[in-house]
Amino acid sequence: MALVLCQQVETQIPIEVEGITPERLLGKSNLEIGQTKILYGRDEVELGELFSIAGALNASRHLVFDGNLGCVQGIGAGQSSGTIEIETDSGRHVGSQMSGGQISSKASVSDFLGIEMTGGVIKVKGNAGDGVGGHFPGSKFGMNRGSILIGGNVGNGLGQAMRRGTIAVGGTAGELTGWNMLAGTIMVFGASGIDAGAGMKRGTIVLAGGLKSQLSPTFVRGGFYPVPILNMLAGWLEQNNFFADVSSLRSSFQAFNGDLLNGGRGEIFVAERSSH
Amino acid sequence: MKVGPTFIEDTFAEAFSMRFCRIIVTAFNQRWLNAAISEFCGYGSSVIGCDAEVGLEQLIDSQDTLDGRPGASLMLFGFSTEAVQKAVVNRTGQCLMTCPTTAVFDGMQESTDRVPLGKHLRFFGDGFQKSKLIGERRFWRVPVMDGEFIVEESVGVNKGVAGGNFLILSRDQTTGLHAAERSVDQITKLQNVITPFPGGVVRSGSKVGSKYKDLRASTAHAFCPSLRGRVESKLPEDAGCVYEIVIDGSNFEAVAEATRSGIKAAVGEGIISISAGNYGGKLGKHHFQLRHLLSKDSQGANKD
Repeated sequence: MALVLCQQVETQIPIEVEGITPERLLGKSNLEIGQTKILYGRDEVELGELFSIAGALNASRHLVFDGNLGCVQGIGAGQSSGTIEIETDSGRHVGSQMSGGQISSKASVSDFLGIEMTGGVIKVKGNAGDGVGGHFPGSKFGMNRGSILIGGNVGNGLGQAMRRGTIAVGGTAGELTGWNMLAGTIMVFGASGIDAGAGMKRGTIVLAGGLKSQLSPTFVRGGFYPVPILNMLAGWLEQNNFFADVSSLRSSFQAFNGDLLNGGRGEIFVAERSSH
Repeated sequence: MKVGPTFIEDTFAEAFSMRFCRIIVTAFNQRWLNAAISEFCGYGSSVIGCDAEVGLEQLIDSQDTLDGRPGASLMLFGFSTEAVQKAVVNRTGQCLMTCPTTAVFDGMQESTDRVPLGKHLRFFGDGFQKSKLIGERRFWRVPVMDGEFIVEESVGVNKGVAGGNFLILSRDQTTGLHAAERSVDQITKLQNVITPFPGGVVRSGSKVGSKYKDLRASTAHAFCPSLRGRVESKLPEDAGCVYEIVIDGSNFEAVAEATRSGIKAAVGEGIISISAGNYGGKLGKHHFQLRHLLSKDSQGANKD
């Protein structure tokens, strides 16, 4: 049985639900859950003032967010276990700093999805905004372990400064994918914007849908060959019911090494059909 | 007790607790997979003289491997976790990393007792190696001349049972050899067991000790047809050849099942009797009573 929180208010004011996670609500009555303090703009209000609460949270730790979630920020932020389902388009910071469990969105999410997460899985059927898997302003590192799987398109700065973990995007990506990336894996199955991998130190970026423009000249061309580890990643994505066809990972890729301005230990694999 | 025309002796096989790991090897095609298997399993018959007892458990279809290529699961047994670690690292480094197109994965993810594999072998990459975390599993990508050698960071180690055995006493060598082949063919179909000797069969069964004080083992003279008359022979009057099948497995039940299946496949015309090797029950803690194994309701005896 799931606990369903449905946001009832038509508003443009941000609603912060950081900390409303399955493990923190477990053992509380619906009345106590309704009395949990959240931020509505600058004001502290009770959760029950904005959300209707139905069902119950049992040992399966299944929490559902529904209703007008466009201004609801921080769904699943800090989550460490259980499952959160998001039924409609939601706001920023979904799954930020989460360390375990799973978040599944049936719609799209706004910016900063899964930033600084350290574990768990986030699945988004729709699109995501800028800064997926990145970091808060002032932090040094982005995502560090865990997986983010997105069926649609994403904005700019995908995986910025990510340190570990895996991000897969079924659609297109904006500019600066893997900007200052330290390690980890990013796979984009649609076309990718300019300056992918700029400043990357290590890690792997797979541009299976090709590039909209050439890579920076600080990336040097390697060989053109099938990459065994990508074959394994394809299998892993299929196991996780990824939204897009991943068979392209089993073909040959043009390898690039870089960013030479930052040691050149990173790698970008670009699909054959790219402009390169 | 007789099974068909073959007499089953009232004796038992004595086996030992050992540690083992299971690795999954994949390669570009069956040719290179076979090359990898042969190399990895070489000189891995008995811990009396080898670093480990090693064998092919089963071939794996390409649809069931991590990288979608034909694979094989190989089991490696040693006296201790340290011995297993040393052997699997050395053998993987020398026999699998060197073999064209291979990749090596852990075959016992569920095991919490783990020994490093890729964690050590990665250093061959001389600083150019890279790791990749897929799910919760870390793999090392070591650059080699045909691309990359992919090897899992660590492999699981578990307690197993090694040294299960039975002896096929036959009228002549040809009959005995065919019976041994039938046995091995049958055991090969089973999971969780290996037969680490050449072709799964031993012709030089051994006893503990020797008249030469530095030797730990020497020929089982009581089962050598050519010594009949000179020693106290354990051979029936009309037996002219003995072959031994040695079985290592992941647990008592696996070895028991393999022993039962192997014996059932071996018996027939020209097979005088089936016996087993033991040390009076004093050394190994696992005892496989042949007659009990072949009766429906029992699986031998385990001192545990």
